[in-house]
Amino acid sequence: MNVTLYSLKNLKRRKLRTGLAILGIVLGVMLITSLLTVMDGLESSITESLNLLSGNLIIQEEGSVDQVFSIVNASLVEDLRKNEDIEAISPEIYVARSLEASGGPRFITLIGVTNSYRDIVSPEYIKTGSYFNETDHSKIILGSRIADRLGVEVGETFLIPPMNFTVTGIFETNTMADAIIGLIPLPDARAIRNLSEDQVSVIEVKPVDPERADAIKSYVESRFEEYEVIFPEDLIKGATEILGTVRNTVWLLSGIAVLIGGIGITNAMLMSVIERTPEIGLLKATGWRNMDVGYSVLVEALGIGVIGCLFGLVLGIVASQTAQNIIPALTVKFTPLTFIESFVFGVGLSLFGGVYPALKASRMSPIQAIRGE
Amino acid sequence: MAEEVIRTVAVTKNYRLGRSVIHALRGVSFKVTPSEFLSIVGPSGSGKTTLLNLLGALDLPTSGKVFLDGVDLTQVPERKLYAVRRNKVGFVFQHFYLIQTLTTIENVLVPVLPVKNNKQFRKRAEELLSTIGLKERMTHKPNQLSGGEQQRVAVCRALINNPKVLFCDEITGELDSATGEKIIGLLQKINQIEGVTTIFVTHDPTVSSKTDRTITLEDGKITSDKSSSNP
Repeated sequence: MNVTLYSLKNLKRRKLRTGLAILGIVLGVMLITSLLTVMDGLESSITESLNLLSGNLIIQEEGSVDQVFSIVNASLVEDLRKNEDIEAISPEIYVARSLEASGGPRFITLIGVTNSYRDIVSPEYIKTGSYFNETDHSKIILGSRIADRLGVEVGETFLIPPMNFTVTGIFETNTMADAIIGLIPLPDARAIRNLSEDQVSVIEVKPVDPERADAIKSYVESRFEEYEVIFPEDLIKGATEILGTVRNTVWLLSGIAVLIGGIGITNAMLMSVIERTPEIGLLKATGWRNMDVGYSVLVEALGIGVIGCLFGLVLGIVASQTAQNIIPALTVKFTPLTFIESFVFGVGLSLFGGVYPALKASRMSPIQAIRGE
Repeated sequence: MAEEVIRTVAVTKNYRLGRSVIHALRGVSFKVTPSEFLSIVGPSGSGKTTLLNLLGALDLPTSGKVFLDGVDLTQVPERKLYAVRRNKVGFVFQHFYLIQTLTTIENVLVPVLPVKNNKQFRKRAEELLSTIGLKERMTHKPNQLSGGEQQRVAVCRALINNPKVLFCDEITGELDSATGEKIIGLLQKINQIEGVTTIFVTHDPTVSSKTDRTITLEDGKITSDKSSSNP
């Protein structure tokens, strides 16, 4: 037995009070952990999207907020073939559809594509099954996560109003696309959208060399005023910057939550120290140094902090995992660094919360303390 | 100079209470030789407990000198006084101040918890507890013990560090007279076995009647110092 063990045993004296102090830290750390794992998930999803896009450009109608609202003339494809900087061209029609399956995902973004889509994505794009042919009807390639959520596999058929689609393949990109996108033959998409033969939503192009992307952009934009060329990378870089700001906000808010937990520890320890004033007097009368008494109080605060942080971490992981199950587009990522950060932050603030009670206890005069003054 | 474990020279202690100054001790000088078994008596407010606090290195006098085992306590810086308390003195108080979460033997070991390599004290604790008749109660919690037993645990706790002097502040105050007498008897036995100087502060005449020497304090001064020929 030593001072450390004695102090930890003290935690058992007022179980409810200790429990509430622990709960304060648990909630704060849980909040930090769950929000940070979601942030990590978003960041890594965006980074992976960046790798996946590998420099593709999207030509859309000037000022379109979303590809779904854009209409581009399909004859532009012929024009683009003359440009030597372009390696592959994929005309695409975007269709947003709601699903009626209860409990499953509620929305899906269908992209009507031709065979040339295969030339603008990576060779490992399809995970199981295969591409459909552009002349097929009622075929679909689903993102891996939306397929999981719908519970459909290759070869099965399901309804996306107004058509039944048969799954020919499952793609996986480890990005948000996996949770929201299905690829269908271009004519099917055109039929659903009621577009004419010469209309598509966007044209996606793959440059021969990513360095030539700017040249393609000015080629298109100088010749067709009504179109704009966007680099998804730019959007993603913008998103990453916003995420950085969001991350700081997350830290700030959950930091405040943990701080409140720390104040809870100060309160609990202060009450405990005041309650035990005669005992502290006795400890000093029997030869405990001021630092022994202070150390003992800090160990108690640290005990509360460590227990609280461990539970907070576990509950935070459970919370973000649950959030992912409810919101399929949400990606969470568990990184050791995030756990270490939340843990160290929580334990640090707990220790900080113990400082004032520790000082108060260590400065008590033995004679006055033993009389309970 | 005769062998002495305690010597005070013209000790005074003043307290400030609001605007007035209270003269708790007004020049107290006496000596105690090793292994003495004595009591300090006097009415409330006579300065008994103040004197005990000064002798036990819990407090420092306003003027005068206090020597404990050859060390002038008035020359020891306040932050070093703990070492005197840890190594040279033991205290038993009216209230037992046992820690409810700890067992009997753990309570006895409380003073030495901050000492490094304190395993050696465990054997001492076991010996003390069996001397005092609590061998069977070592793993009990305080709430499983009677008042007399709890005070005996507190006595063992005060003796764990082999002190030169054991200070007992109104230790029978919370016990019935039979239990109180039993405790005094045990302390007498320990005084004989271990030779530890034992000083009682009490207003209980049955306690002082059992000690070899009685110092009477009144109004901060010693008014009588009698050795009993019939302990």
